[in-house]
Amino acid sequence: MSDNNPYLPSRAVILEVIQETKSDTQDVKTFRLKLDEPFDYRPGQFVEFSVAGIGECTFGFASSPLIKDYLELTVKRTGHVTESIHMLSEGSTVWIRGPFGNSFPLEKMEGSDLFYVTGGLGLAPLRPMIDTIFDPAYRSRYGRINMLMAARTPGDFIFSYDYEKWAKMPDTGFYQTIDSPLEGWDKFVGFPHTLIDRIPFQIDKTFAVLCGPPPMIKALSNAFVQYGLPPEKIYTTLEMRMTCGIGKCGKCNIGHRYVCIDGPVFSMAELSEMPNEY
Amino acid sequence: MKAALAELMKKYTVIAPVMAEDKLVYAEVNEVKDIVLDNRLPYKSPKEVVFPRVENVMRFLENRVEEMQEIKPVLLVGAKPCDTAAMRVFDEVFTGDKGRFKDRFYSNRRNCLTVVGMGCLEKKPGCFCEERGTDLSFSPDCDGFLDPVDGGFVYEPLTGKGAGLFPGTETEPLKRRSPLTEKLVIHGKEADVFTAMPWETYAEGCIGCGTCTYLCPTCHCFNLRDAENKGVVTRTRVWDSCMYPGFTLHAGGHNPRTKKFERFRQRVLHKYLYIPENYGETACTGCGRCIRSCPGGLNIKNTVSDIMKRLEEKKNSEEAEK
Repeated sequence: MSDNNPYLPSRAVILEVIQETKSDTQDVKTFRLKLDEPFDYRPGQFVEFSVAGIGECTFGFASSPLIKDYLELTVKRTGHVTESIHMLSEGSTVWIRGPFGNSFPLEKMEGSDLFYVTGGLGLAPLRPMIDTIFDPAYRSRYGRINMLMAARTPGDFIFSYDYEKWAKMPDTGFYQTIDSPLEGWDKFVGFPHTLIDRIPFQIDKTFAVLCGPPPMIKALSNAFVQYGLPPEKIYTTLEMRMTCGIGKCGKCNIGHRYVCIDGPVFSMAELSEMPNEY
Repeated sequence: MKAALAELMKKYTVIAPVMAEDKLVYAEVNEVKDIVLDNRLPYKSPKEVVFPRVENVMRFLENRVEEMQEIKPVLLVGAKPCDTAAMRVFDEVFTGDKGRFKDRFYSNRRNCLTVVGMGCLEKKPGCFCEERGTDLSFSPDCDGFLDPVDGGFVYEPLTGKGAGLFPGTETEPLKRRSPLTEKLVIHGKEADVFTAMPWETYAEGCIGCGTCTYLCPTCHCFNLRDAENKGVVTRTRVWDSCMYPGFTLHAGGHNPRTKKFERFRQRVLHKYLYIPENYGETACTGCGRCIRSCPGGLNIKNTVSDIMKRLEEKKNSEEAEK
């Protein structure tokens, strides 16, 4: 990147728009994009995604980097830019800068069990890791995998079309939970931190990977630590307002760290040494 | 001197202290006679020469984007030591070896800039350059330096870029004062300084106007914004300020810094703790502009002095316990 203007995006075209949430607001969509200048990336990294005239926004990759034909970004309609993104359809031109940031330490986790816990849209930035590790070329390097996915209501789960495939994967525990009881729902009910003791896992050989709203992350990591999992083996990915992606603009600064270049992936051990400003 | 400056104006866009109404400011010079080469500190910093308030990055064409940065050779004359020292911070952050990304958008402009410094004899209320290790009589962070002598100037070139600018006034290297030591610095752990100091008291009176960040010679936070004009969309890089709540506001409504004291703490610690940790130097040169212009009377010098005092007390009491 050193020779290029770091603020210039390259063009992408929307191949497909997938409506994710089925609840009343229908506020999450996945955009499948074809890039003019494709690039490699690692699970956990992110891009700056923009619509000309509206502006840029930060999104974690939502599809596996092993897929070379397209990439996916999952977008919740929540502000000025995302409102405009949601109005786009197949064939629209959008703009991408990246990839930025560090990634989940997949090599370090080899030989271990994994426990993914996600809340709502928090599943999106984990999906590149989930699908990479489920790939036959990687699967044998890891032990048992547990997945606990949380959403407000059954209609708020994203990537639900992947669940059957994931649940059938060998040596995998697949669990779902919703916030409050509902007639006809026979899976877990309640917040994820209250449920981890109902899922069997081997504490001494597990890495936990969490993503979701900040209160969920805080409650969950406390629960895992109380359970005996060292903070060095609990990973999450932070969300911060960002502009540049390269550690200059100052937005995502927490202590001496910049989420865009030192993160977005941090272990709980690293986060405990940073000011609680996220 | 005047003849040399007139020659230079043919080659460069010359930025120098000039009077704008009742204020001395660094601005583009139209006529040599407007240049005020004296020892007063201009009201605003000259950071716009490397970091314009609004700068076109690019425009969107149908299938590609086109760069739009317009760069001309610029000569900054009469820059005071606190302002030239600040450019060292800009250089470190945007293109320094300790940073992981080099920003060509910045270096394009920086490489076309020549800086001629000048001493400053005015100590305005709020100035604390010497406490910050900035020598008000000389700055090494320039391409050349002007020293007044008997109604005229002698010019000491400091870099190749600065050589030959003022024929007839060039001098051999002058004997200068040895560099000053920085007295106002924070040597503390993030955890000790972040939570254990009375930040709400320090920030009392802050109205969140952001004036401090706009006048500061080292503040460099920015935003990217799109604007549409006659069907053409242009993306610009514009100044932003950590003193505004919107600076950290997430689209989803969450905000990691909702309170004014949290934002003032960010401003002080970014300069005195975080940038030093990442780049090895404090991002404050003691120009005092934020102190003089703050409508709420906030004072970064007093804040840092108080933090230093409290850290010292803590250290002493810890040693006494041993």
